[in-house]
Amino acid sequence: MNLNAQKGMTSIQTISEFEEIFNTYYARLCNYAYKLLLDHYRAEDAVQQVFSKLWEKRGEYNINTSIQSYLYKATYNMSINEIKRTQKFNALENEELVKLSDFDADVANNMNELETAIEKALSIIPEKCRAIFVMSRYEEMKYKDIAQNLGISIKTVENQMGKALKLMRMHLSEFISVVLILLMK
Amino acid sequence: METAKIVKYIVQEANATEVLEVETWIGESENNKVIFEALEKTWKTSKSLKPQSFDLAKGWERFKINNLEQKPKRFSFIHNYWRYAAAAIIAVGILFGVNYFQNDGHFNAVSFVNQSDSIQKIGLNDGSKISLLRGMLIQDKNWSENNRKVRLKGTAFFKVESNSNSQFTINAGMCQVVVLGTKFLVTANDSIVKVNLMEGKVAFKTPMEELLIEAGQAAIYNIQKNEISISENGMNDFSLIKKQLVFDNIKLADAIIDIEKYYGVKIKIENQKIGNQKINTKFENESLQNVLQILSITLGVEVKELDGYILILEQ
Repeated sequence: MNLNAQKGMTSIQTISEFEEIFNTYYARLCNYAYKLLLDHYRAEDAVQQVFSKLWEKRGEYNINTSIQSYLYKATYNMSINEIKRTQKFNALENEELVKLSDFDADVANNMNELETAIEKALSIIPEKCRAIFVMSRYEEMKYKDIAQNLGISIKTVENQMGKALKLMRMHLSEFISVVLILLMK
Repeated sequence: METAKIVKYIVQEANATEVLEVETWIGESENNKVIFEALEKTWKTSKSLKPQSFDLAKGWERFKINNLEQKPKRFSFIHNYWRYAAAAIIAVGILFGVNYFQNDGHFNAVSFVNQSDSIQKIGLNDGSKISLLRGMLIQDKNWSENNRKVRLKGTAFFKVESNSNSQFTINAGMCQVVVLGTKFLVTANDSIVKVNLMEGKVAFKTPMEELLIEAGQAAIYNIQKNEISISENGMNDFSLIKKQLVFDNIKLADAIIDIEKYYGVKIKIENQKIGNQKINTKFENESLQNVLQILSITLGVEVKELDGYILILEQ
């Protein structure tokens, strides 16, 4: 199968074709989900569910829907649902909605202070805004592709990106100063 | 200047007009330059987050277990009660806003319900594999590498991935089964909680006492009587997992009990004389029809499928 990002969903017919898609996108989508959920296990669970749904409904989608668009949008939706579910339970338990201790402890141990701070800053950005920022920064997607993948306008992407970087700047200010000092040395 | 426009410039999405507009603005004052540099540094600094490592092979293995593996079909005849029991549990849960699994406040949306007559295979993200024979299995809401807890009502075979740093706990009724990594079968219903251990050791915590079960042993906690009994595993306790039934000089009347459980059917014997006949055979992944045919030929009996049950009678 000649797999490309714009390939239609109706082209998935066999397990080997599906496995090729899985191999191409699994780690990428897990990383995307991880930056939204900031939890290794939950990210994998979300992506596993995305692929389960894709497998169940293979061949049913309109040929105009690209695999990549579908997968990113589905991972986004799955992650947002997971965030809402967690917030609901955390709220019930009278806990803070987002906190650093939610991070995977082992992963946090292997990260340096800056990375931990970036994750903390990401966790504070509202979900939708965070999803857009993650696509742009870590998936290196163009604004028009983000808009297409999430089914929103390019103008929304522009505004959300402005908001995201502003929030990141506020929460990373300490580190940015350190980076500036290091750069100046 | 709108932040969105500055960011557009930084991420190289701005058109020629916007580039000129932003560059003019930066040159207008020292303050503008500081704002711009702070945003640009934030953009560059935020890239320092290294990608997480996700194991593709394990991910695909887990996907296959949960989605692609053929579920061995079990003979469906009359025992559909689990289907109704599972539906009833869900219905009661909806009605009262809580359910059996929520009583410790660790409810999780990641739940598996096997209402079918097939075995549902489940792959968890710690590498553990579960065959849910009947009933419901729910992962703890705080499930993580260091908090491996599930809740079971029904019957499931566990192949727990070994992790010396993190024990795996199964909450079953009022009991807990705690392991580090091994293979065992757990049955939890309103009357009993039973553990059949295939390999290794497990801790079986009951309201009465805590036991250490060894390989080959079976422990049963009787909820009503608040009693524990320990015995050797029965010849066919793992029959559904091994897909085999072994009868070593066993009375037909006793063998029928295992056959009923395995195929989910009800079998009646016409008289004690037939029931006392002994059988010595092994069925490997056989259909019920074949098993009945073999019994019929070797024991010289007749087998009839009647309304809701199978009758074995003299020829």
